[in-house]
Amino acid sequence: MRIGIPRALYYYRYFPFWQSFFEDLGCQVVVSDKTTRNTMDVGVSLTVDGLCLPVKVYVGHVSELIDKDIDYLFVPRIISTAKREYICPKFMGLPDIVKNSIKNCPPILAPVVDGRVSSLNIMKAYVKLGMRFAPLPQASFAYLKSVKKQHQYETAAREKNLNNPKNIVFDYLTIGILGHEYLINDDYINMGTMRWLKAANCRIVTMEELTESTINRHVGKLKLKRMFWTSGKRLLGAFHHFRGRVDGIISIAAFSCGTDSLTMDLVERYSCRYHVPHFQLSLDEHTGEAGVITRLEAFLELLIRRKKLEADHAAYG
Amino acid sequence: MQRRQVYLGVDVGSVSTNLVLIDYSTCQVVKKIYLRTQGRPIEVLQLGMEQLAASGNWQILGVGTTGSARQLAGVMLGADVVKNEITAHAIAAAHEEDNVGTIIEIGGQDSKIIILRDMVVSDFAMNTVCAAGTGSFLDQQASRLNISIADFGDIALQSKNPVRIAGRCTVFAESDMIHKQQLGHSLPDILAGLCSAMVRNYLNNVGKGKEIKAKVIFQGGVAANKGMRRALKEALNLDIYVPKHFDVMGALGAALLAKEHIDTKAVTRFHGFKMINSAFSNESWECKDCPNHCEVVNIIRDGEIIASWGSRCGKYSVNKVKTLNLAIL
Repeated sequence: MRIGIPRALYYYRYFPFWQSFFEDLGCQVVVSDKTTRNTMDVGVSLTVDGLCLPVKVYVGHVSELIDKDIDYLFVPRIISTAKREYICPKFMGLPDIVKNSIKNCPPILAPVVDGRVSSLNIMKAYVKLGMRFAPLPQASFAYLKSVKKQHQYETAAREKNLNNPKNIVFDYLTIGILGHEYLINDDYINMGTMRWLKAANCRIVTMEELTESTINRHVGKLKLKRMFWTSGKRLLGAFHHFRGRVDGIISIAAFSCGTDSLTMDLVERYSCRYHVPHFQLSLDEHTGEAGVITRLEAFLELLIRRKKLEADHAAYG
Repeated sequence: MQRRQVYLGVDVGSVSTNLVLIDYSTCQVVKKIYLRTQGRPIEVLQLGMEQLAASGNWQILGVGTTGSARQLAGVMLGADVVKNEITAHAIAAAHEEDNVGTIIEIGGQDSKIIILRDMVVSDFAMNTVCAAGTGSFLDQQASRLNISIADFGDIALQSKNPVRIAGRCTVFAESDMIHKQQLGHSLPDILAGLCSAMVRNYLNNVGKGKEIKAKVIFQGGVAANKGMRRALKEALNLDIYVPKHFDVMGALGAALLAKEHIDTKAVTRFHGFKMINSAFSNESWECKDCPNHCEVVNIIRDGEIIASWGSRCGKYSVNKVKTLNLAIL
């Protein structure tokens, strides 16, 4: 069996898990290629106008996957990944969005991932899905093994953690990046922002490098109504972890992202309160690369001059 | 005759191309040239250099470029510093005025706000993809009303009772203006109303959430418009300072950055005035090697490709123009 997984959205978070799960069940995992102009053009033309750019790109990836001769398309219906939390409502409707945007859509595997009440429900959904390809014991075993794989992957991503002293080089600028995984890891969507920052010798830290408990600790201290969006909670937690540890913070958000419109505004307010240099980049399908580079350049310039000034003051203080 | 030692700053923007020469020791502006880009940056830059060469005997110690065509100008001239507009404008304002708190810059296609604290940039914002509320819209409206853009401000100042015009989007603003004009409102009132609408739009979009503190510097081509100055003053309830060289601040900043760079380092990479006589051309083509179909641009001098950009993978980059110099850390 060939299972198609689009290289978009939560691919950038859960792929190790998905890959391990399907391969353990004896399936072959087929992933779409990296996002290109074609992916975006196709995605934009197939979807309705009101969707955000990453979802449009997701549909573009699905359309490219269909040409790869797949038996099933894997589009999970993710509702909640943690207790009493939700993720963006568009993920809930993803299988329906795909079904209605794409003609000749292959059969969709859409487990309902809803851990709002208990993470056991997530396990149940995956085991039920696994039983389409293998008997119950093998499906359960594949699930448990894949959870472990995912855990190993996340630990490895944290190895370069901000707190690790051997990674800190004082000559360079350290930039904290706030944004969804599917924006900061997709070079086409973010218009090469990360590539550009690396070429400018910046040290980049992202929220993928933080543990769940670090994030919860920071968010727990806030005098706010509980942030029930998992992504929003992670962004706010990462912001409070970064401030004081990095030279500046860059937020990357898709123009029409619903959850970010609230969390990024909070981030902006906190940056003012704590005097953290912060800069927000809005991504949309028609923004030219030149405009992005001009703004990034100016922001780095600001950080460099500020750092230089602080160094001078320290020398006299 | 003794050759005068100067630094050259060039700002090639979407609407205007400015060249500024500053004295090597006093940093005072000794020559400035303001030209309309008219969509032909290469020719206009050559024309500007020609005018510069004819205006005196200059020894150029260093060159800085800025503006949206800074890369292009950089390779054509052999620039020592290629810097973004925000930094250039901030440097120039801090040089021209004391205790700057906020810089408001409205140019032809873009507008920005730069917040300085202790004379260092602490925050900035630039208009997004939409060019509403910038100089080119004022230009359009002036020509629609058949008045010269130079008279715009003076006429607006005669207004006693500015009309209210929708400012969120310039398309709406235009239909609102036509509506008001057909109702019989006077021209000065309409122009003054337009100025306040533009200022409102600027403060709500670009200046959103920014703390605008004195001293406020207003620069960029639009700062020439007295109507805009008055509207800004009324909206902010603060005094507005327009620096002497408000129209060429970007170029002035680039020249100052070139001086800063040369002072710490080596000699200039300036190609010399001979570039006036070179034949420059550009060609663009779509690369079909991968599905991205990048539009690659080649800049050609006398039949030789001197620079190339536009490809995401960077495989055609002949002269990789360094966009950022982190060595100053």
